[in-house]
Amino acid sequence: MIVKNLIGALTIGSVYALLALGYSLIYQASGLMTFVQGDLFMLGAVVGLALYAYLKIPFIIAFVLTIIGMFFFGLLIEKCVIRILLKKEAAVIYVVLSTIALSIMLQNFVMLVWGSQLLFFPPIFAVSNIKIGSVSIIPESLMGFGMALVSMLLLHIFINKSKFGTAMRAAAQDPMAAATMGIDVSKTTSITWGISAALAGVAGLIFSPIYAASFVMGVSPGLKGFAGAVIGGYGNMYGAIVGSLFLSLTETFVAGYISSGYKDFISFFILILILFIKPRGIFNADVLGD
Amino acid sequence: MLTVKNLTMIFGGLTAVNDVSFIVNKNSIFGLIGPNGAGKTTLFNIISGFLEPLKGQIIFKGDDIQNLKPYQLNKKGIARTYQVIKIFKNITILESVMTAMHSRLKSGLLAAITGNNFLEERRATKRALEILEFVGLSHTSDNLAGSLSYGQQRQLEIAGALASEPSLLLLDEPAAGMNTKEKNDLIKLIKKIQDMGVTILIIEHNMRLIMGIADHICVLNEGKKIADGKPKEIQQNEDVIKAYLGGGDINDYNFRS
Amino acid sequence: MSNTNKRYFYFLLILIAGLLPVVFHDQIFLIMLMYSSAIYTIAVSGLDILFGYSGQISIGHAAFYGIGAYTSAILSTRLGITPWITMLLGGILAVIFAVLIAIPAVKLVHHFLVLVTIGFGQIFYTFVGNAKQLTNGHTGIMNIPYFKIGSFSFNTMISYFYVAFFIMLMFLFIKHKIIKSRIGRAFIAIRENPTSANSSGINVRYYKIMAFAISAFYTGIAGAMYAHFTNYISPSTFTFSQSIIFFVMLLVGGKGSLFGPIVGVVTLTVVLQYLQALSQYQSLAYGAILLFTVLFLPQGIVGSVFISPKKYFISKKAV
Repeated sequence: MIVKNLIGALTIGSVYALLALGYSLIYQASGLMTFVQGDLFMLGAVVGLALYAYLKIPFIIAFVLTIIGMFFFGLLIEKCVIRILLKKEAAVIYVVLSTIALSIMLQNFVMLVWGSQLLFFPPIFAVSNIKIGSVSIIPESLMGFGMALVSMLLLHIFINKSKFGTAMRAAAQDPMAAATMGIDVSKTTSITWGISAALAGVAGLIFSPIYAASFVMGVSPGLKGFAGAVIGGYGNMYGAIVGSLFLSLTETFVAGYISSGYKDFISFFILILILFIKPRGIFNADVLGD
Repeated sequence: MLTVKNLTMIFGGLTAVNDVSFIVNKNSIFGLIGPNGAGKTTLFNIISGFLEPLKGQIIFKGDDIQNLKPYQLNKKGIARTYQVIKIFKNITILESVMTAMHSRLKSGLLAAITGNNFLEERRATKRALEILEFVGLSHTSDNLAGSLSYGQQRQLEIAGALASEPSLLLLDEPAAGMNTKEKNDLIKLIKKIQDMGVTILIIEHNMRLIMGIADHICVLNEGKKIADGKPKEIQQNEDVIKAYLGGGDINDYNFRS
Repeated sequence: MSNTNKRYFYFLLILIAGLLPVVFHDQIFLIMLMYSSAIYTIAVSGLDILFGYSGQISIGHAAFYGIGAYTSAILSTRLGITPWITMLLGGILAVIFAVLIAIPAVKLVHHFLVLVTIGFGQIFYTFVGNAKQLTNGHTGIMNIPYFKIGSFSFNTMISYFYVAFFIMLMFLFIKHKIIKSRIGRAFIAIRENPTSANSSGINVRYYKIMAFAISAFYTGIAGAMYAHFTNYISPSTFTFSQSIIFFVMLLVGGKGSLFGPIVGVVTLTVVLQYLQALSQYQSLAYGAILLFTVLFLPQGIVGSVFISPKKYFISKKAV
């Protein structure tokens, strides 16, 4: 029982973690906050579903296509919305509001196209469950883990070891200095938004084969990913992962042993508590507090 | 009026202010100078309540004030302006000055709703116009603050500082970015304020300006006080000259006023 | 326009608005739109005090709307207290919660404050949906009593309108007084430049909390009125969407003004009437309108249309 809960918590935790990484990445790169991660998560799930279930494209190809598509969609958002506001030197609040607007539009657009019912993912594997010891796991769960780990690893390598990743980090720390060194700061910012969207897409394709998809599926995970990022220290990559896992474990065990109706309540409560008591999170993020 | 004792402030590994002490006499113009990075603005931020010092004491009119917040200091009679001018751009100039009178007015929420603040508001408006007249901005009172020229914005900032009826006025590089005419107008204004009985503590990079108006000068270098005395003494002080040659602005070498 | 002329103009506007329902007394639909606009205007004016004047964002105001509604509903249905009093209590409870949240929250930067307000909104929604003993959960509370004076019961749409209209005028008047006072100046200073406000003698924290409190009172009262007009409330009204609606109305109409909320409420109410037929497009429309406003019209309708040329003249010597 505990093991089953644990696996569930880790699966959800990796979903939250991927979303949280997206939030922290954008914050690190541009100091901006986005509220559309959850809906990009949903979009990834729905598009992947459409490709796999309706167009009958093999899963791996559907996956890759979705991720690429999400990446470009992230670039699109940055170019068409965020950049316009930044050029106008609009107050940060307007950027936040624009992402909220996008979130609403995405949700309703998907609802209009795909309807409001739950959309089920057809099974990806021939076996319906795998037995490890006395526990049976859905293979999609294992696949989800794998995808999460690989994504995080790739992200880590990309940011810390690649030339582009280094340029991105430089631009994040000091845009002016980076610009004088020839780094195209607006390009690195766009790519950050693209990567975050792609991460959300991966998260969507981890989640929906196990739990199904719907137009509202992104609301709660979106906020919880955000919470995970805050708990770990907003802007800190490793914190995002740690914070998200902490949140999902707490959540799962509260739901399992106390009450599932209050599951969301607990998460938001923890979030607000952290914001009140230790907004810098576990790893002491450089939160530009008042 | 103001006694600073053994003030020390450390950020991470950097000692920004190192055991600095000095006394500012009532109704004097006290200059704080030093090369870039000497710790002047940090010191100002401590005196004006934005930072709490690690060690040391600040005594104002007999009370310890190093732990008070900016708005509390304002109430006690300390007002300040900033190196990068801070004004309220989207309200009128008259409203800006009235806003800065906050600690000298009393009407609260209830008075506002019931209209009991009518008389106070009328008095405040009159006083605000007087202050604007004093700094030379009364003709613009209905314009938005953001529409003023740079020099006028500084005048507005000073008007705001005066609105709280301070005994001590802190001016952080007030002449920064000004042309000659604006600088001369500023000097006249500062002298006028001194004539009103206000004590003035001023950070300035412009040597001629400071030597011209200060009654007393304190020199900081790398967080430490290296000299303290009348302008003539400072000009001839070897340590001061060395400090500026070591890393100051070429333009600041003309010590003689 | 001189001050006296302004007063005549406002008086005329109020007279016309007040007489419309009498003239069109058989247009039930119009009257419904009018009273719901009045309620929304109060709620959005409250949000304006918080966002337009003190510069703090809340996308959780549906919670205060709901606290007002539920408090008033529960107290009047269970304890039989007259709606006038329970409405007031609803407003007061909203204030209490606002202050409790604001005390730790106002020190947070923009984005985190937004998050707290969203979180609070979610917590409220989850709570009223689950606390069945107190709130009847998702079934909702029915048979909420009407406002009464003596034996006269305010149970027709026209009567709703006049109650709402009268209270709205009162609240708008109060808002006007607050804005023009020392308190209002403090709010604006905080919005424009918190550092300068602080050194100008304004206790920034205290006034930020006050703005939250006043804002919550307005929205709470609006919520209570809503409860006594529709006689039925359930959690589904007090969602994140509702908070967004308030915000969009404020932004579209023009924040930081007396008329902005009215214009925003009326505009959006009208626009959405046209979308009634396509009700599933409503939310999408809200999102699109919000995006458009944020990108191209952040000052709102009032802010863009009523610009005085003298005020926006930038001196050539400006640096």
